[in-house]
Amino acid sequence: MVIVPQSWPVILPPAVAFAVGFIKDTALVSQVGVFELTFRGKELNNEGFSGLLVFGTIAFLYFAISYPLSRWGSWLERRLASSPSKRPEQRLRAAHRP
Amino acid sequence: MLAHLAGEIPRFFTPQKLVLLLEAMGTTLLMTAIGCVLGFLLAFGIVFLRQTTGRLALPLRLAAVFYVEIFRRIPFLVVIYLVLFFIQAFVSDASLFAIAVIAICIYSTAYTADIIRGGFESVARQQVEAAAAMNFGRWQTW
Repeated sequence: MVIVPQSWPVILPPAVAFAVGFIKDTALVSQVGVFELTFRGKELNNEGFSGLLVFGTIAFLYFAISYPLSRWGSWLERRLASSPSKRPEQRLRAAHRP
Repeated sequence: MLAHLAGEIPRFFTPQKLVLLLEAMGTTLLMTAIGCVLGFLLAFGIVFLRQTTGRLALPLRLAAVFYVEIFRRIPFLVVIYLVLFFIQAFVSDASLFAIAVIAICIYSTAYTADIIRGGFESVARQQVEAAAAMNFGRWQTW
């Protein structure tokens, strides 16, 4: 009621940035054999397709996922920065200034 | 070499292959989404435990601090292998997707808990004091 609503603009942008960055880290999961993007790439490479072509496509697909999400994250950050929940405190600080 | 590459393109970009790749993309996205959303919710629990007061809750507080400190200092790949071998010791035919989601969950909980703690600390102290002065309980202050 008191802390969470006020800390929301501070928490949400880095949390979204972490999640978006984590999309790339999930590539490590291919090490245990989950059928995700990087694993698929290794499989296609083993089928005899050129690594450059396969992993170029994989890289493009990762970019295609992360880029819109990180744009959404920065939009969220801008929107929260000017949200009304932050204004009272700023007004309070301005009033305290001599 | 470029001619070889150009020759491969029509063989590579067939509908079946594209569907496979899109499925894999969905798996990647789904894993991250489930793991990070669950991790975000669990992180609130960790922060709640970490902010408990009193001597009786000391073990809870310590557990929360240890959890965050340990999993923030282990590489993600090692967490994946730990979860994999731990779960396979009990359930031999566990689905790899579930194992991946659990590993992501564990890792993102630790990181997000620190983000949330930082956010809570950014709230002015006077706000918490005002809530205490108005006799707000712990849940109400949250």
